[in-house]
Amino acid sequence: MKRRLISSVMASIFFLGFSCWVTATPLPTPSSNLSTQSAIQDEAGFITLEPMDFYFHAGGYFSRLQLRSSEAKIWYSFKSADEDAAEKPLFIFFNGGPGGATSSGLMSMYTSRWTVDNSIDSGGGDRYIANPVSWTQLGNLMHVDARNTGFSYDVTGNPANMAERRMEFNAQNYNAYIDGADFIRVLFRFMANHPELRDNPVVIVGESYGGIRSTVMLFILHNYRDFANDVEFFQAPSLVEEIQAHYNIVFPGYLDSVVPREVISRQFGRQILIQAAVSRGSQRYAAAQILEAEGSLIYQIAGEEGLDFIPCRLRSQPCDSWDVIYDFILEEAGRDYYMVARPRDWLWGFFENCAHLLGFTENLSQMTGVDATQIPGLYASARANAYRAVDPAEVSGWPVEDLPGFTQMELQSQRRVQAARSPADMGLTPLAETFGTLQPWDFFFLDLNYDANYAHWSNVAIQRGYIVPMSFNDDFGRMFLKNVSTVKTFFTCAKYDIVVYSPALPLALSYFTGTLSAAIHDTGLWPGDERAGRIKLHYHSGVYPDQPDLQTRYIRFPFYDRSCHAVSLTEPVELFHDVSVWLNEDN
Amino acid sequence: MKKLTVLIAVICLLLLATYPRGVYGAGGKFQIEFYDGYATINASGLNLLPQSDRLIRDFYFPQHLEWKRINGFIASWSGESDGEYKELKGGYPFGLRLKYDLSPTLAVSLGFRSLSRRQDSAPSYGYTQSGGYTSYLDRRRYQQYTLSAKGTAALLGIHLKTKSSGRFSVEGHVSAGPLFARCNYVSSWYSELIDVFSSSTPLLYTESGSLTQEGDGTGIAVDAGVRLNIALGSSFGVFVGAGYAYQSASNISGIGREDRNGIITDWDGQWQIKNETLSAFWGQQLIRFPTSYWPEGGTAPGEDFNLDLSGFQLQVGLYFRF
Repeated sequence: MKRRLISSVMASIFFLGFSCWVTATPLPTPSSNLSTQSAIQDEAGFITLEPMDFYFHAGGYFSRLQLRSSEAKIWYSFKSADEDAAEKPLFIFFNGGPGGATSSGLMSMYTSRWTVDNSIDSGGGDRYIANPVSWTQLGNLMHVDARNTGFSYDVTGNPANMAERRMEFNAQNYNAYIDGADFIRVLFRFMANHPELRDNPVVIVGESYGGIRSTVMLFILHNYRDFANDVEFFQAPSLVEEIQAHYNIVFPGYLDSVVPREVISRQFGRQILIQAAVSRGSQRYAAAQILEAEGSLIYQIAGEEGLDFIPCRLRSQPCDSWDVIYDFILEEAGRDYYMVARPRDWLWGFFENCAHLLGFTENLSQMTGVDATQIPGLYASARANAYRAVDPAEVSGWPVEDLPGFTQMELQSQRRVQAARSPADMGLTPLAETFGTLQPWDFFFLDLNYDANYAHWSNVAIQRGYIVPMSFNDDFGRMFLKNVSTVKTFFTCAKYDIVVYSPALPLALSYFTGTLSAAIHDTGLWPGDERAGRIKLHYHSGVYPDQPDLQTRYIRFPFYDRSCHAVSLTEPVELFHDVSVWLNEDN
Repeated sequence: MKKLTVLIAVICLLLLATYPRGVYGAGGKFQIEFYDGYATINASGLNLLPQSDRLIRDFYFPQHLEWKRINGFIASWSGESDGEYKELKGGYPFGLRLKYDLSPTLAVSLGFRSLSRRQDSAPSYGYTQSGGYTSYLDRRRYQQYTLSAKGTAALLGIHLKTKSSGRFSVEGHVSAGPLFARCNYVSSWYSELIDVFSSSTPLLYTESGSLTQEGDGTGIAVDAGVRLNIALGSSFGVFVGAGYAYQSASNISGIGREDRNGIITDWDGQWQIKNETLSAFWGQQLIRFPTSYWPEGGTAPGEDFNLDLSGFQLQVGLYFRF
């Protein structure tokens, strides 16, 4: 999910289109743990990731690209399950971008005990309410901000040196694989500190680009030995050692041996993907085929607006299908590409509000369930070597016109939303008043870190050809399909999101003819379903040597007919219900 | 050594002009010889190293960038390279030999010969790709690129020579003995990726690296040749000859070290040929090179590595009889 950069200390909000002043609603006294029955306490703070050596190779060892990630302080917020926490699964949530924060995304949108109010038609969207469908009813929750997003920050020797900061935004810190490795390490460090949860089932919940992250995490976890024996092009021996050490504890019967995938799935066997990218190239291609066809959602929007939509395939001049679609939705129809049933920038307003709310100490305490003033890593005195951006005076360290096209659209949305806002006094304590003034290149919170986003798209690994940029790389799709063979998968299908147009997913997966003989969208209502939808995957016989009997798998694929890119925001009750039922289903 | 040989030869020639004619070939039955020369080296196994480095460069840059240009990922690219990854082609043997005449036409000898060659290169290259969001220059400069080999043989020989006809005689020989060989590969480089259009922060990535692999082994040396002896006096002279030396060592083993931006790996092992296939979305390239780095669980060795220093030799030398 794409976010944008804000200056959280000084920014104020006027919610676009609704003339609502941000209220200075007195906040309830933060409770360190709303669960009186759970013995595991809520907590929040930073997990330190030390530098990690890894490399990319194309089959040659001495010609590899050797890299070392930088030290990172990864922000997490843990909330224990309402009941029997030690027996419940651990949900790990993250948004996408890449470079997008989870704290102002999933954490703030109907998964935690508190949530931003989605009742925008009645003047909400700018305050917290108690979440009637808190996922703490399902298990323990861990919301994690990715490296240098949200509250997470990186560390370098001389952060005042802009040239040094710029070199930090490169492949050693930003690529899909080190990103997945970061989250695995964070998870393991957390579990190591909480032995009571260490062997509990883990449910990965990823939104948007978080689908790629979930795919990479699970593929590494399930095929871990191949990431230290030159089989996979991403090699991280110390990560594999850490994974083996974890498995030695959780699966003692396989001490220092290769743990089979079906055994690993006892712990890492579920993923919930919300409007997720899992094979971006195939998904974009398939979505364009569907959206350009007569009668598609785009044509419906055109009809509502009294406009004519001329798809790229019918134009005489060479064009890009997605340039045409986005231009039509944004510029001609004036709609939000994340939520085409609403005006342009609609969803941005929510993200902006969530980010703004987190800029106050009281709100941070409320959302995390802990006293934020007790978190050492937030204090300016503790982050002398912290940095968040290349050039604090610019949105990103690169000229705006050099940013990827979609990122430029995000920037334009940001500027429109900001231009419509007016300062408002919430009567709360800005983070800077509590934790001190940060260096110019450091920020408490970044909703979307453009420098991190850009580094994922352009870095030395991509320049040297080790990584194909996500838009063109179908390796993730192959990894996703292999994951699904051992991981129960829930995938939302929102009607109004064209950034990740989920109805195209079955078609996109069908392109993987080397793995599947068919991917069929079952739109029937199964017993127990309130919302229909499954994808039946037919695997080729023997496609995975360790699964000779594999024939079919189902992806739970419920259709949300009122939803946008952020399904948890627009249909939170429905999503919660479907997830609850699915968790108890057989695959 | 070469200069010394030349100097001695000049002195001998001067003496030749003044030394009274007398009986050549006189003196004792022992003869000590010193010689120098030039030898071709068939170091095909060792030369796989610079060949593979060249193939790697071409794979990641010209081939990759051309694919990107053809497929519209970049608008254009350009590149230049300076210097080359030089191979070992020849060496300079020198040796000494103690010979004993069993008869006026037959002699035996014990000698030592050393053949060494060091080839230094100074390659560098830079490739610029343009289009997309900006232009990037990816370049590398080697501070050192050295390939070297050395073989020292202890040789027992049999020499057959014609009877002296005045000053000149022709001699053929065959000798053989153990070979003690060494090879060395050292490269150190500095790479950087630059954003061409950024004036404030152009440097995006740097790598300082080095790779050193040493190896020692033993083998056998056999050589044969003919030479023309030219007596300058009753007990000394010069000779010039040609021949072929077979000298090949196997079981080469030694230490290695790699440093990549301070990430150091040390190892020791046996040199063997590694076959790697570079595979990327723009194509494939097979590379083969000798190495002593065989980590557990990694690629299995392809074939044995022999340090082959065989080749034709030219020799010029001095002898003294006593």
